[in-house]
Formats: sequence, structure tokens, C-alpha cells
Amino acid sequence: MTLLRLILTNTQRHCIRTLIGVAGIAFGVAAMMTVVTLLQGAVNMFQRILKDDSEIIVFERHVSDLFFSNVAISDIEIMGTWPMVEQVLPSLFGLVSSEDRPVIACFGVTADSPRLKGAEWIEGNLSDFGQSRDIVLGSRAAEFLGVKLGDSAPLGHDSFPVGGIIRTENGFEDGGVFMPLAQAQEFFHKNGVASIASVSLFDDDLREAFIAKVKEGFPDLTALETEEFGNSYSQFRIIEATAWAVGGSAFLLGGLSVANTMIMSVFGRIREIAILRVNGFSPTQIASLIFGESSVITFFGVALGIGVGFGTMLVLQRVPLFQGYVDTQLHGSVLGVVVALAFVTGIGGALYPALYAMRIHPAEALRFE
Amino acid sequence: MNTCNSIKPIIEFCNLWKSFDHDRIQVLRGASLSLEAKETVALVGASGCGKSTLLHLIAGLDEPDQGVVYIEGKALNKCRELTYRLRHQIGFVFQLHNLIPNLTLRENCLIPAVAAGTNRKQAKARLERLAEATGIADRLHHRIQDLSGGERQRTALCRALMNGPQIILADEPTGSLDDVSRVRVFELLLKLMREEGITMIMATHDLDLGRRCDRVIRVQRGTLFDETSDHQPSL
Repeated sequence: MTLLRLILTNTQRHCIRTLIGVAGIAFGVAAMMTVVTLLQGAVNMFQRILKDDSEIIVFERHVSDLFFSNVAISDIEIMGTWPMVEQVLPSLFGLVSSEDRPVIACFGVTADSPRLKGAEWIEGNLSDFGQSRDIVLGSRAAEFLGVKLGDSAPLGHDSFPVGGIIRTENGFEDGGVFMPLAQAQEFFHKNGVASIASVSLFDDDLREAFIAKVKEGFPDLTALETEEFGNSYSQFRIIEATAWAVGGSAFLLGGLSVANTMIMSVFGRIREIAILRVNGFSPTQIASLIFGESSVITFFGVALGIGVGFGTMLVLQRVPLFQGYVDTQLHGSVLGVVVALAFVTGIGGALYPALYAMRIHPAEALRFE
Repeated sequence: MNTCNSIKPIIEFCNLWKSFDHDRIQVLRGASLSLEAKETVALVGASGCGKSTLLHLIAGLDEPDQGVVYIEGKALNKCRELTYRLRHQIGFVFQLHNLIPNLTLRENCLIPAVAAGTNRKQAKARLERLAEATGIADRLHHRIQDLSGGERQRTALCRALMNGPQIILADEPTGSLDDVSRVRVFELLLKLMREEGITMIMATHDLDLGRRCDRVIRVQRGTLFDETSDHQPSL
């Protein structure tokens, strides 16, 4: 007979009540895991688009979104002449729509874009890109637009001949449209500008020097290392904060369910707790009992929640609409935070019941019950 | 039999007052008592006269409005001391067994040992001896719901004795039992108290059983009268 045995016995006594507590925590864990992983996956996917290109990104200072950024092609050309720079590639980001798809990512790029070079060409050739008005579609975009090589793809108020179809691992790219840069500039009424310039340097040690030179030469532009960009870009931060807030709210519900379970559990055995006290249990041991019970509930809730979370992500991954957008790679740090939050929630939920149980006056409990 | 200032008794209190409901119900009005080690005392009186209240005050579960209870000459000051007292000095037996359902007899009996953090081997050996003495050795792995009232009460007694207390406070321990079980449980209680050299205060309605204790104390109008010494107040 140990304290653990007593804890397990108590949790088994009212199975439904315990299961409700377990379900509450499981819901919180599964919700946070899924939401955070999916949104972080989306952010990572977008970050990878930028990372694949370069080490440094140059964009317009003080813009809330890269879609609104304007970097003059003439400025990009000047940067390309700097001795430390190996390559500068302009990219124009825009959104187009078709009949059934209100939002399709559009990339205005040059033929030497690593996005096109690194992709698997299902139809068409990279060498033809930029030679005409032809656009290249990601395989998913071709699928949902219902077009193949040589067809005309209706986008916005215009339609474009399809000159190639590529497959990439990135959901944004695979569901997107690639236009020659000049054509994209014309389509989005952004002549002479790009959204960003992706810069590769001859030597990594020159990064700081490049950033300083941009700051000095182009006060309207900002140069950031891609890692730094990911950490500072407000849209990413908003998405991540939203994910954690949604997950946190789910945990709050989980915590309330544990609190409710534990309160019911304590209120239902006031006399029993008084008897334990009379048999030598200290108030601290009584509290340990309550916290122990909530920890057991949390443990099973976490286990169930992780299972449900993984299951949900696997299901989402197989839903055609989400294919390519769902990154089910759960990071250890996210799992760690989720598990830690679950236990904090579980323990937090048991705080009041434990305090109540500690303060049960044995004589009164024995007298009135 | 005044002992307030004489040799150190195991339990002693003088002029103990206790009321409930903002002094509207006066239960104890200057109760005094002194008990020497190994004495067995029956506390008799009508329902609501304050027998249980007195037991709670002696155990330290409740605080008197006035007066102090001394156990082995020490008053209770802190919560930690109450835990020590309940863990090592005092065992409680109630009218209802108050055993924890879903646990076996063995597990119920071991609760005080868990509370005190007693070594497993020692606790097991003690339990085996007590289970033999209380006649529940062959039922240790049964659950509470499988036992008779007498067996449950013997289990409660076994639990109360688990940590080797010097004092047993029994609050009508035979009150919920039939005539045969009542006598058996009481005889067992008395036998164990004498064998183990434990001081016992037992609240009871049954004067016949009470007379078999060393002393009979009547609780009346909030005061204690020692019936074994010509109805004088026990102080």
C-alpha cells in the first residue's frame, strides 16, 4: 500500500468523472498540438521558400506584409554589382484568383530562380520559361484549375497559356502560379519593382557588411538574414501568437474540466479526507493526494491528446485541400511546451480543490456528515 | 482524584469549555479529567451531551473555547504537532467504520503506516500481528463491501492500532452493531487495550459495557462526573 495506490484507487472510483477530466486535457493537448504544428508548418513552409533562395532577404522597410513590399529592380541591379554578392534574384509576390479558388499564390520570378530549378518538371521545360507569356503551374494548382500543358489557365481577369507544370514539396509553391517577372509586374501593376531580393554572398562572413551597406545605400530598404527575418516578420509572429492563443484557450477549457473533476472529487469525500487526517495524514499529504490524482488524469490526458493530435494531423494530411500545406513534423520543443502546459494546467486545476481539502476541519466533517 | 497539578498523567484537562453556533449551544462547561496511562474509561451520557466533542478536543481535532488539553504533559500548539499526535499518539475508532471503499482490508489498515512513512517490512509485520489479534487475518485481501459489520469494525480497530498509539479514542465503536457483535467487538477492544497497554476513552450509550472499563465518566450538563467515585465531578 502506497500513496500512489491510494491515488489510483481514487481516480478509478468515479470512472466517468475521471474520463471527463482526461478528455478535457486530451482536448487541450490535441488542439494545441494540431493548431501550433499546422500554423508553424505553414510559417516554416513560407520561410523555406525564402531560405531556398538565399542567405539574405532585402525588402521594403516598414511594410506589414511582403505582398506590399516594393524593391526597385534598379536597386537590385546595383546590389548585384557589389563585389561581395554572388547572386541577387528578384521575386514578386502576388495573389490571383480563379473561379473556384479565391486565393492562389503567384510568384513573379526569373528563369534562374531556384524554385524552378529545384522543382520536378512534370510537363514543359525550364529553358522555355520567360520566352513567352506562358506560365508554369504547381501540380496542385494545375489539378484544381483543371488544366494541362498547352491549355489556357483563367486567372483574375485574364487567361494565360500553361507552359509547364512542376511538382515541389512546398504547398504554397505546389498550389501556386509562376509567372515571368516582367509579366507579373505588368499583371500586378508593379512595373520596375519586385517584392524582395534574395541575395547570396560569396562569403558568409560578409553578411553583416552587406546588411550595413544596404542600410547606408538604401534607407528605404531592409536587409535581414533569412533566420532573422523569420523571427522578426510580423505576419509570422501574429500567426504563431494566434496558434498559441488558440491552443492556450483549449488548455483553459481542459484546466477547467480538471478543476471541476477534482472539486467534485473532493466535495464527494470530505468525510473520507477527514478520516485520512485523523489517521495521521498531514495537510501536505492530503494535498499530494489531490495533486497526484490530477497528475494521473493529466498523464492519461496527455497520452490520449498526443494520440488524437497525431491522428488529426495524419487525417488532415490526407485531405486533398490541405495536401502540401500540412506539415505534420512535430517539433520536440512544441511537444515539450504542450506537455509542460498540460501538467501546469492539470496542477493549476487541482490547486483550489487541494487547498480546500487541506483546510477540511476533521471535527466538523465528522460531526456533520 | 484531582490530578491537575500532581504527577504527569497521559491525558489531562482542566475547566474545558466548548460551545457551538456562536455560544448558543453550550456543550462543555468546565469539564476536567485526568487519566493515567493504560487506564480504560467509558464516557457515558445522553445523545448530544458532548461525548464526541470531548473526544475531538482530546485528539486536537477541535479547539476548546477555554482550557487546554495536555497529552503526556504537552499542549497542542501547531498543525504539525496535531499531525504527530494523530500519527503516533492517538488512534480513533468511530461508530461507523469509516473505511475507504475500493481498498482491501489490508490497504485500509495500512493507511496510518503510509501517513507515517513506516518501513514496509515493519508495517507488514505489525499488520500481520494485529490482523491475527483482531481475527481478520484470513480476510485481509477482501474488500470492505464483502465484510460484516463486526468485521469492518475490527478492521477499523486494526487500523487505529497500526502505528502503535498510546491512546485509543473510541466514539461509540459498538453503536452500529448487533448484540452479539457488540459484545465481541467490545471484548476484543478491551483485551487489546490491556495487552498493548493502551489508554482508552470510549464514548458509549451502553452502561453495561462501560462498567467493564476501569472507570465510568458521565457527561452531564457539560461537566464530567466520575461514576466510579460516588458521582463526584471527575476533577
